[in-house]
Amino acid sequence: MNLDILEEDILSKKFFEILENKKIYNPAINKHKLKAWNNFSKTGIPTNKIEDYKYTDCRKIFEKFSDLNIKRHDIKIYQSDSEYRIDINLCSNLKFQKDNTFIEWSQNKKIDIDGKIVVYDLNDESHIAKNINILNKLFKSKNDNPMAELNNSFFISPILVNINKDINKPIKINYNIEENDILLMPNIIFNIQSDIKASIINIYPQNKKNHIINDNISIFVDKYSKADYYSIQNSNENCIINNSQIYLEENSNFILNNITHSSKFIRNNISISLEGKNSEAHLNGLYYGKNDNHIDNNIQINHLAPNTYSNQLYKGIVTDTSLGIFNGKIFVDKLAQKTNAFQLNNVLILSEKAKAKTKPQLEIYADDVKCSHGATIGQLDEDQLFYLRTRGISLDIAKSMITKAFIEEILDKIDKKYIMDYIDNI
Amino acid sequence: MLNIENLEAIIKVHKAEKNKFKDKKKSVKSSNLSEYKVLKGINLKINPGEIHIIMGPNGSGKSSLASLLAGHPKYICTGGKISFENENLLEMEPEERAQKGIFLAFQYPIEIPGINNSYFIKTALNNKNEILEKNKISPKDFLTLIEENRKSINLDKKLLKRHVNCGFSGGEKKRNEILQMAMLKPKLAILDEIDSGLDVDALKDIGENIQRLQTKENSTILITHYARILKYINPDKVHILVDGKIIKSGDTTLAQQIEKEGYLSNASINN
Repeated sequence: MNLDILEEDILSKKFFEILENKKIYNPAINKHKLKAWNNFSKTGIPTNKIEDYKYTDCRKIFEKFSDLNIKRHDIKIYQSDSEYRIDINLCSNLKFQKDNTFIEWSQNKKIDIDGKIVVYDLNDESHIAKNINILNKLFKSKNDNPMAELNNSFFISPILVNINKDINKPIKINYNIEENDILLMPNIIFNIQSDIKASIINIYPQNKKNHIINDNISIFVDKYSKADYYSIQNSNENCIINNSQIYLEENSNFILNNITHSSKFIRNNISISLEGKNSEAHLNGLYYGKNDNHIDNNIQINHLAPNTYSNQLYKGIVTDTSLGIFNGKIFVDKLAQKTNAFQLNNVLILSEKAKAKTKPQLEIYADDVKCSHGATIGQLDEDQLFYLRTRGISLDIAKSMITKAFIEEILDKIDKKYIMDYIDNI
Repeated sequence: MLNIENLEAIIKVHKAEKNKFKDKKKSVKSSNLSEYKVLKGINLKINPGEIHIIMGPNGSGKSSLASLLAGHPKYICTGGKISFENENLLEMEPEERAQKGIFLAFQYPIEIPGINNSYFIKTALNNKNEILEKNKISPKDFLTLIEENRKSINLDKKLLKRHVNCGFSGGEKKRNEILQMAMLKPKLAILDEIDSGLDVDALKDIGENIQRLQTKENSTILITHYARILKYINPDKVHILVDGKIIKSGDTTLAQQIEKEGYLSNASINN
């Protein structure tokens, strides 16, 4: 265990002490947790001395915690006519609507919904043993993201959601937290079996409770399956560090719709591995920063098999004194011939003090590939504004029309049926 | 209706654009902006129901005059007066001028990706109705009205559903300008080189529509290089603008004379 760095890093030291006190003895998983901690402790909580965190100092967001208030969370599963719901809870006095049926964990810490969805509690030894392959893969994957490793080294209330059949309603991740100043580290693994369609919606907490959430969301998409993942971050005063790992098998198709607005601090670490040939990943990102919002998107796409396709379109709007960051890396392995990889980041700056950073990167080892990347940062076009105004449209309306037009391209791409309620106020 | 007296104006240009003005004399130099004198004492009076043609060589200030009248922020008046219906035009924002009835058809209409053309025209029209304290136009009436005008100007129907001017040909952009004019029914239309780059059919459609929209109440300023559009339009006056000044005014025959002899001979006559 690397303790040298901890001498100076009080924050990581605190984490270490908590970890020591809360040891769970399970040989199969402890080895992994230890490795994760070792990886994490190489850097500790990342500051802007690390290249990937150049504009984002994660230690700052922990400053308000005199004590690290890491809480265990409970997972509860509900079913209603319109959705399946994974609730992340702290308090025992839950509120839930009438049409929701609460599904109890069975004695062996397992939930089976009509054989379609089977959820395992991964704190249970027998489940760890049974799903050790997927866990090995998860922990083994070259993870140079310290925040994901911090989550892994705690591995609090982890669940594995197996999706075995087509589901005609989405799975929604929902937070139910009423206390203030909580640090949460949920870890959810979705395993989508072959030839299945599934939608997953992750709604981050929208209250004003000053939480820090450092989650791990892993999604395995098997052959010929199609997964839509919505990540809705409208999280007010809460700080979110989202670590998402996606693994795509042959002929699978994955769509990420990531909408971020009105959020104090967001860091998205998204890593997508196209491991099977003909797999496809589409990323639609829309971020809107106001006040002193800090939004940082860090995207890594790994093309590891032939004939794979990825397309990233990230559109950002920043106003007031907010900061919007896009850092996108496309890696093409030498095996991944015939790769098509596209990336575009457009940012609109609406005020003098708002800032935007963009850093597209390509790392290509195959010789038969088609890759493109581009980025623009600009202000509202003076000529477009003038044109609208000469038609009698006021400056304010003209500005809002052009701003809306800017995000129209991305809203057009997103299937809005599940998320209309959450994006109305953009 | 419009009264321009001794109008002088400058343009503020960003350094990156200054090549366009390299043959003009620079007056002031600040850090990023350069200033050029574009209008040097213009007098022009337009009465209701009149069509005025302004002709002149490249860089003489024709488009500057049009942009200044519409309120483009790059142009700054340094002397003289403009009154429109007895109000000081120079004190108004571009949208206020439009709401009072001034319309500028752009020489190079602006493309706005993401805004539907028909939605844009409807927003402008409803905005005007709101100012005039009229009711919003019903969707049905709007469709009838726009369809009528669209047919008259021969604009392809699918261009209404496209984004404003995006993917339009040069001629389609100009037809779209006249469509907006027909919908908004301005008191004073300023048409900046509406006829340049048009084929004979488009010229005919646009010329005929300008004449069609002309009534006893509204007026038109038509800026052009060529007399060919006069086949369809009967102007009341023709002005020659050279180096920021109107050097000669006359009737249609002046336009024909320019077409034959060029601007220089006329400029020298006056000087």
